[in-house]
Amino acid sequence: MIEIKNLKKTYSYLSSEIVILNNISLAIDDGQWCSIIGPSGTGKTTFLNCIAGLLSPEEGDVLYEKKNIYKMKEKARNTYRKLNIGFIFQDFKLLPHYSVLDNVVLPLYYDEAKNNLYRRATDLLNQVGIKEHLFNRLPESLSGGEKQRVAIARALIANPKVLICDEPTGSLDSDNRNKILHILSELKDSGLTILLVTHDEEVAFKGDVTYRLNNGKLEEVRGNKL
Amino acid sequence: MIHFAWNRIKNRKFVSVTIVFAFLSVFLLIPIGIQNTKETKLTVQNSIAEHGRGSYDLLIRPKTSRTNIEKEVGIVEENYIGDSQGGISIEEWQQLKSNPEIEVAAPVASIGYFTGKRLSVDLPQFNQSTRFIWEFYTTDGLNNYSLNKPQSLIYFKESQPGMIQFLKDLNLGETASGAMMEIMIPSTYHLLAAIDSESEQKLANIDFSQLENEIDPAELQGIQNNFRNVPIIKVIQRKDMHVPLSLKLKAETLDIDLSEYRTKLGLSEQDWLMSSEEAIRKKTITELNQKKAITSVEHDIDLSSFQSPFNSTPVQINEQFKPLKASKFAANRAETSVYFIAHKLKYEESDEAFNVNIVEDGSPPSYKDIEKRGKNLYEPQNVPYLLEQVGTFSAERNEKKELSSSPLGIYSTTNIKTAQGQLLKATTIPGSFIPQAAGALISMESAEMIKGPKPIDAIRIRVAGIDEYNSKAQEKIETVAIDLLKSGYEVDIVAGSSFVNQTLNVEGIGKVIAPWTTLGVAQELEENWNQLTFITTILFVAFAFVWFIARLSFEKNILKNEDDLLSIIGWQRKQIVKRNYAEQYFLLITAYLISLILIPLLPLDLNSYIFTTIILLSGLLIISIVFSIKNKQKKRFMAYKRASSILYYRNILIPTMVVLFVSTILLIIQLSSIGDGIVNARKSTLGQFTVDVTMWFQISILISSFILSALGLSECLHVLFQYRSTEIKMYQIIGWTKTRIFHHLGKEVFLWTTISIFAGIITAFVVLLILKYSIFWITISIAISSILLCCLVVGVTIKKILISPSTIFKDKNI
Repeated sequence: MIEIKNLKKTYSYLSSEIVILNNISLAIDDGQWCSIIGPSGTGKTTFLNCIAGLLSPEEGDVLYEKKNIYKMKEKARNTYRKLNIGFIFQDFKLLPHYSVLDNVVLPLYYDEAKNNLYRRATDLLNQVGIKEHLFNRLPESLSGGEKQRVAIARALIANPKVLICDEPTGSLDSDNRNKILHILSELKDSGLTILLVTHDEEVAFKGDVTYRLNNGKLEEVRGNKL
Repeated sequence: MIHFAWNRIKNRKFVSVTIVFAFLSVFLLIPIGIQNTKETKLTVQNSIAEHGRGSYDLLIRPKTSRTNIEKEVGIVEENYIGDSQGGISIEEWQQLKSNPEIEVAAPVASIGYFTGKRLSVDLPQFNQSTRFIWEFYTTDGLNNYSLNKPQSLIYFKESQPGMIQFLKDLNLGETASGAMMEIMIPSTYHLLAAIDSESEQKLANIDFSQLENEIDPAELQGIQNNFRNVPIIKVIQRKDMHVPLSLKLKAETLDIDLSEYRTKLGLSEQDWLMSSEEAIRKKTITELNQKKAITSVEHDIDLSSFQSPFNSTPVQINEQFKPLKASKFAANRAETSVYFIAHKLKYEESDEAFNVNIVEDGSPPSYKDIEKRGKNLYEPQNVPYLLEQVGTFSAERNEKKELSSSPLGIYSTTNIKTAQGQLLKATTIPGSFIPQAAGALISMESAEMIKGPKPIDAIRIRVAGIDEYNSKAQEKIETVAIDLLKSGYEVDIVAGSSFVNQTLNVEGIGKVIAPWTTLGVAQELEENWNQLTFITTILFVAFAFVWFIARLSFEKNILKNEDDLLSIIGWQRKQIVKRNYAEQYFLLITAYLISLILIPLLPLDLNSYIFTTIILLSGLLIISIVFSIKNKQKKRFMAYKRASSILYYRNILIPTMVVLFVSTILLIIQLSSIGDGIVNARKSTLGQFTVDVTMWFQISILISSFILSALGLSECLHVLFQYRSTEIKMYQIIGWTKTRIFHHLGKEVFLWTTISIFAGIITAFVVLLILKYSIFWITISIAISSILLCCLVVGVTIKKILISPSTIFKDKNI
């Protein structure tokens, strides 16, 4: 369960302050797919980063299983992020010099026995539909859809409870988009909590609940999908 | 084009300023480094020009005169005048003198070790009968050596003026009189050399005119009366030289009666005791020596200041046992025609010292083989000549010439010390291991009388037409030397030699430090500094070139994605290349203009403007070439199995590795050159001097080298991490701590820096071995350079990753 309470985030520009997130409160249940939509520049990514513990707000709290992540020390926060949150980005953020398989194992490379880790990575890649002959390829040689699937596999290697997706289909064609959404649906059905940010309403409405971020405020657009 | 280039510069302020600063460093540090190197060389040249030339340039000797030490090691003792074998005639010398290329040709002949007239020491007459026991001794500064067995003289208190009653043994040639009670100072031996007054005066700037003085008429009369027409050799002795001689005098009062001993000696009341028969006198003296003393006092009396080499001062000991100049004295010239030839010291080479062994035990011991020549007055044949002093000379050391040396100068009072710092002196015998300065001089014609038709041992040549000791002077000296070699002489170029401290292991004394002379040290010094100048210049230029290329390669790689994007949106390749040029030109010219403002504020000469302009033009050319080369990168599909990040980023890493490689070589070679050069230079006094006057330049060159390396390297590393900032951010996102990121990237950095530094070490090592630098300094400089560079790399890496890691989230909490 993720709780956001009275979150406020501002940016300074020249001598003035711009309020990006204005007193936002939100509760995300376990296993829920929560989408956030809004035009570019409204603060969606900022909101995600605050929830992930990457950007501290001026005011407000982010509680994960009743623990305030901004009251943790940096090391604890890093551990929280590593073990509980998986990330997927619009531009995939795969390291260009590592193979597909190495990119997947990267989060736990120093924390687990290599044999076990690579075996799980292989399973995950199979799960997301990446064929074995691509395992030792550089990410640059993959298609957009394949890259995003690798990114999903990487995000899942630590068995996170939450998956944060920042425009995961933004760089993909419709076919690949659907494939990714299908994977996300399956993950949600398996009990993963998904927090997805997009400007695409069709993608957003795949989730259980959709909020619109506008002028720093969050408004619910739709309730549970029936 | 300019617009886009300017915008790019403006929007990357920090990077642009860093690049300008790095360019500026190159524009300033390289001229500073090269100028300091040239000034070092100039200072060295000036020092050598001013101090490198001794009193003469060439040393001519007969063919067989070179010692083993000279042949093997190239050094000679100061004041080394050989073993008096001669070999050059007066006619040959005069031929050399007439050569217009020769300003001064000063011959020198070692005659041998002679003794002057023996003079007396008048003993005090006390109120009581006294037994005097005396012993003369000399010293080498460390040990005392007895010159005679203790002898006795017994004085009777009943003496009258003019009839002093005493008993003593008379040695061969000694006489006695009732007017004084004297003992004879033992013979002391001093080096007699022969010179030509005129040329010697030009060379040594000493007045030898007294050699032309006439003999004292009274002395002359005395000699002619006693020895008829014996040739008399005029001698001038050195007046500022003294002989280490002391008298141990014991005075014991005895209770004895004159009349009793008169009776024992068979003499009447008016008789003088010394007129007794020798045998009875000896017996009586033995009896008196055994008598028990009532009181006894012993004094050590230093007679050194009274003893000059050939014409001592007669001495009187007063009742307080103080020595005074005596008005009455006895003299004995019987030994003045006897002399000794001392053969060369036989040195045994061992490690860093030469061993000098005693050849004949004695008091003092002799370190040389000695050969006695001449006749004394007691021998039946007539003496061939007599020596008579007619004047003196004084040889004060010219302070200016301390840095350079002129071996066979024959005047130096050498400062030979033990390893503990005790000053040693030559003893009074010919066999001392310490080379003696000439105690007296005679003319060349007199030398011919003693030694025969070829009396000259060496001729010292000063070449004509030389004002200061520079490369032209060296060439001229060499030309004259070659001509003389062709004439059959042994020739040494002495110009440019300098003192060097040589360690000797002297038997009976221990470790001794003596100032010897290295031949040609100035040439060697100049060659070494020339080499250093050349190496430094090459390294600085190479570093600048490599760093430029590395910097531009970086930019090119960073611009690759932008270039591709511009190409996609429709820009022609020409336009893209021009945009890239424009940015680099702008940064480079900005740095150049700033350097023009700063140069007048720094200690740089006008040549620096030329240098910086050359760097600018070269830089502009390199930019044009680098950016116009098309990237031919083949797209790779498969990941590298090992060292994937190093191989993937090699286009960026290789320039950094090359900069690190050249930095390593620059520092190692610079450190080695300076260290090795300083150590070698310090071996001679001239070298020591040049090191002292150029030390600041050396340090500033080294600092320039390090700053250049540090700036270039840290700039490369900074850009490298900047380029991979997205990767570093990714690591943070997936939950890695800063320490983990540091370890992860650190392994990679460690690998390629080790490769670069190791390659630099190997290259520098090989180069330095070829240039014959000492292993010690190579090792030291490798260690220091490696440590400095590793610290630099680690420092920048820590700063980039741990202290100020860049993130996409501009927040202090991350």
